[in-house]
Amino acid sequence: MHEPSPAPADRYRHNQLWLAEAAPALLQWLEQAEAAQTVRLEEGRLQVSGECWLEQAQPQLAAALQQQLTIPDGVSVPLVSNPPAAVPPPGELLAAAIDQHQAVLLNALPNLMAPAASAQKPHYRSLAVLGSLMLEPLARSLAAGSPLPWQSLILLEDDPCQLAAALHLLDLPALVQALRAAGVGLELICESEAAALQDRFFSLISSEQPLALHGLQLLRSPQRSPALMELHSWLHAPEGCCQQAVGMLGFATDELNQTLQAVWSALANRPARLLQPQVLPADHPVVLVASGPSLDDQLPWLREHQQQLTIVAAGSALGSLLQAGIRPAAVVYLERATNVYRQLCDLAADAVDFRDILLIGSSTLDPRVPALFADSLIFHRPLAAASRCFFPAEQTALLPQAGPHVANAALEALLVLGCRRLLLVGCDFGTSQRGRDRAARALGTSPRDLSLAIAGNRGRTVFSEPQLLFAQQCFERMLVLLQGLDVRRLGEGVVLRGSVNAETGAELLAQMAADPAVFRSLLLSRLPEAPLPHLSAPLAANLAATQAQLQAVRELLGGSEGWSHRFASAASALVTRDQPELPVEQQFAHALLAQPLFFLLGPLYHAAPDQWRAEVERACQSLSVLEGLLAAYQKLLEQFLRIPRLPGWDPEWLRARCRALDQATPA
Amino acid sequence: MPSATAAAHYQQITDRYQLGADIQQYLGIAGDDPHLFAGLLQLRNAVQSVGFDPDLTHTTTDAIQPQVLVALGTGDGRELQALIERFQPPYLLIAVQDWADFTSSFWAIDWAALSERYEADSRRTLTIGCYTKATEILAVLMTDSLAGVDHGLVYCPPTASALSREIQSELTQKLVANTINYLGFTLDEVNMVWHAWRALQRQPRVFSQPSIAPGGRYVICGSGPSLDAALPLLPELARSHQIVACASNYRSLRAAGVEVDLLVLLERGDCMVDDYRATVAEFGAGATRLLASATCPAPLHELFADTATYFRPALTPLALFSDHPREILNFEGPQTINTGVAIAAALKAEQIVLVGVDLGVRDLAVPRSQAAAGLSPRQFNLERPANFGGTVFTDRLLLDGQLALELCLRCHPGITAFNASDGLAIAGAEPLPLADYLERCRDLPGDGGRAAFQSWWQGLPRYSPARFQASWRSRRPRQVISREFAALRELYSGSTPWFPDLLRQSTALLSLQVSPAQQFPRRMIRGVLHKLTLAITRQLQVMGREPEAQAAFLRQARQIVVQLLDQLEAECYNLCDQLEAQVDA
Repeated sequence: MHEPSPAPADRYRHNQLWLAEAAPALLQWLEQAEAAQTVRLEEGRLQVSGECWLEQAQPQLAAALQQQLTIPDGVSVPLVSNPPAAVPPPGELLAAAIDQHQAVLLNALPNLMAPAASAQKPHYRSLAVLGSLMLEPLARSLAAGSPLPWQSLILLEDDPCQLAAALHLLDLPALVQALRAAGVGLELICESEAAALQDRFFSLISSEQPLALHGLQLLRSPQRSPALMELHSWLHAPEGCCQQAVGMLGFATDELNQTLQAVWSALANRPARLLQPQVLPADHPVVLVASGPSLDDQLPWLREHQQQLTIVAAGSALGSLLQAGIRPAAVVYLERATNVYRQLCDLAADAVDFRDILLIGSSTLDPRVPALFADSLIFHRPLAAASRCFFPAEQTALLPQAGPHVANAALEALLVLGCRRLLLVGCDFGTSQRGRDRAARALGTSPRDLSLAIAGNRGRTVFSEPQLLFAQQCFERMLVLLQGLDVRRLGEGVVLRGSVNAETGAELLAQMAADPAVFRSLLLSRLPEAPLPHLSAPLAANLAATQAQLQAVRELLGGSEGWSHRFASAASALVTRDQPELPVEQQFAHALLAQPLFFLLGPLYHAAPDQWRAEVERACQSLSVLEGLLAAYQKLLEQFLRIPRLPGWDPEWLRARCRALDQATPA
Repeated sequence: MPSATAAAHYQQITDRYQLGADIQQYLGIAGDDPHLFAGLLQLRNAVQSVGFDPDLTHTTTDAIQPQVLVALGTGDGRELQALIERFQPPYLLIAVQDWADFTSSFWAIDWAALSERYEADSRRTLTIGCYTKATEILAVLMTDSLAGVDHGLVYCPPTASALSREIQSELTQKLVANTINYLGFTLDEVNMVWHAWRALQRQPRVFSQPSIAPGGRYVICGSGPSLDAALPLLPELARSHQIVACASNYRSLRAAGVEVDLLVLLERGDCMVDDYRATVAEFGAGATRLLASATCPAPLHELFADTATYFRPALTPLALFSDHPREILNFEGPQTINTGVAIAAALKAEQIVLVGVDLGVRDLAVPRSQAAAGLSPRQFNLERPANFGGTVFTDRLLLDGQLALELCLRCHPGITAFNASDGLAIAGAEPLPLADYLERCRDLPGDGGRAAFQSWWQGLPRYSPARFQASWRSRRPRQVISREFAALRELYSGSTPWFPDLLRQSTALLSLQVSPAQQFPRRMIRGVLHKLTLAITRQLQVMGREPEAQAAFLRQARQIVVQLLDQLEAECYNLCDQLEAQVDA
């Protein structure tokens, strides 16, 4: 015999009592909005604030669920699928990775080689519910005994009224209990502000459930709130959630090289000054010049007034400035690639003198770059494996994000140094004219497909690409989050909140005038020299931690019987890159291994139960490759730490040493 | 290709515009289609430049490349076999009405071998099915290749049924032309989006198709001349019916003291605002609610105490601002009386009566209700059967309205419909003089469903500013535009063979079977692009006997399309820029 359904108001009170115990903050969120008072549910008709949301709530929600299960909507990071190839021995593999920007490591992992890892339809093991009302048909389906195909469920809600409405329709404690019994994890993310909702979701994904991005199904409530519409769009956008999450994983081949270069540089380039916070007066204006195409139009003005402006070039913009006869006070470099060094050598060979320009460079730069400048300041990249784990005494030199592009690093360096008044030039993150991707005489090349149209800061459409837009978002975030900034902007590009458009002229000059010599002298007089690091002990500890991490993954795989919530939680903890609460050596392991482990687990995510053991075996082969490579890497580092006085940076010599490791190590 | 006279006329029109520039030049313009005209003019020049006579428009069967062959039966198979062998059509559609029409050819055609041949070639398609309506057949063909339908062959065997012949007639006469004509045009879509942007910022309620029907009885008023005689009877009918004014007759009704429950609007003309402002100023708005398309001018929402908007299924604003199919009002056009019937149908009316829905005139001297607002200049050049016997004069557009109305009634069999108008006969609506209808309704109980209607109306959500911003931003319109145009540009500028590959791929790239967000640029340009592709296709057929000239023309034609794509893309971005500037302002 069926028990009669409780009245909606009674059901709400029941949920309310449960929330008071289980999630008091959520209850407070509801009650502050007086959400329950707006809900009327009579004879199945759901009205909220006088508007009819659903005329027949339960059948309509059931139909909405059915429709979305039939035609699923979801997001997933593309599977890595490489052509089959023989895996080289560890030293050879490491030699191939030295000074390379390609995904050398990922390409060598056996379980990411076709055909098993070939692109398949996403297998959704996680579910994001956009709008609380959809919990009702899920709860009903679960109560009817239908198993849920997901192992984790994330509720995203910005509207307390919708949550209140849902709580009139379903028994939340019963749903939670049923999910628990079914082994399905549940996260509730409720935030009124769209930006906060997106941030909390991204934080959950990047720090707790990164593996969900192998296949995250989306379920949308028929009542679509504005914030959830935007969140849904961001989840699907080329510059959106997946792009950002993959960016957060880092890039293992690059991490290996950055660590190598940072360690080498720290030993070879002495003395070096360390960037420190707040050494410049806030009212010292700085002109930050990047190499967006609009820079070309501003060069005459900059040249004319360069004696009155403190100009800081971001990376390749140095070429445009110098060749236009403009001498910046400083240049910021971020990229570790060798071509930075070569471009600067080319400039010098062309008799362009830049030695007296102050270098503000990442610790991970090609070690030959600082030697080209008379004075340099070093900053650390917060997510680089080397920065936190090899130089724990230099944390004040960490930038907040230090990237992803050099313009971001330049902005952050200036903000950390204390600048609060900035003029942005060439910080376009796009172009107003297709085919004109960057400033004419910027150093090097940056082939980009600027075909993504987006709103421009001058009321005209401009063109960009996902990676640039990610950089723009990071840049904008700095401008928006930091209080007390006065940021103006010349030129045309992607909209940058936190900056205002400016025009060249006497007024702007008056606002931005500052003696560049003061800038330089303040920095050189107030910044300390970096201490000589002791690297042998951290090296052993860090690399031991990476081997332990790989062993933990191997054990997890060995004890697993399929993809489950428990497995996903344990695996996610091992592939999350940024875990500041861990001991530093474990942070190194996470920073280095997050990317390969994330992709290595992809084929398992999509494996059918009968393929599981075979996929585990293939994944273990990949773990072996990583273990071998890291052992070789440790030996290589140990070798050059033994050299009393390091010679100039020589990638070719390092490659030879790597290959020699294979000969020294029996197979 | 357009004739020399048409070309001169097109030139006059295109001279007024600078394609690819500021979209402000298109605002408030009613009927010009400069994008198409400019394209056609350039194509005509291209024909001339390769030494071909652009006024030569006839084709011969020995030189054409039909892209489709529709067989409305197979007969004994011999003729059909010969046609297939002769023309080798990329799309062969066997559209029988009865499977017996298929089996009759088994002696002459080896269908297994033919099927194998088609399956082996990825560029060819063979479809065999039972169809009883020309619209179904056309839908199948146009999904494959819209422009490929032109110069398609329709085979009707000598033994074909009457139904087959009827389908043949529909396919070869007006159906294809109607489908192409109603694809819309860019200038119009610019105006539609512009109006919708402004109208939705007024925060009107948004129509939502009810799942629990309010039902009710409705008088649907048109502005035909027979309305005037009916006006004295309407106040009494209002006791048991809700009165729906369809556009300009609102003035006739208010002038006669009729309390109008609902005014429905469809058109986008800016002049409407002055007409309704004057009507309201002169006679008051009473308790009238306004239900206007999102594409109607925004100031209309200021004239009435309570207003709602709906999305038209064929127009671009739907792709940008609607978040649920329930917000679309189907069967809403092409005439505003269609909107009136459509809303009654959406609300699952039990009964409707059409008053003044003449869709034509008996007396050419009296074209419409005397007190109706505005003007509706028409050429009543066609004669058709009338509702109360005899004939009325009408025109093509009004006949389209009749067709749509009849289709709406067919799709809503629960509605009992009466036609009390002295105009065109309307299938599905029983002819009945209004006095007789009133007599029948004298004892009807209730309020015509007003209470249920009001309850439904009050529950309609408002289009909030937050929703407006989120709808726009979440569509990422510029990104969709850039992707769409990049794909089209690659197709038209590349080496994809025109027959049948490009025709098929362009149809796919302009199909609306994609998410609403992706539909935005497609809806903006599909009319002009389909029509130009069709014009090029037809010209290639005309030039079939001169392959060198044909090839030279095609090279130029592709460039013309690509150049137009560049202009259209720039205009789409400019539209986005200008719309956003309104919010920023």
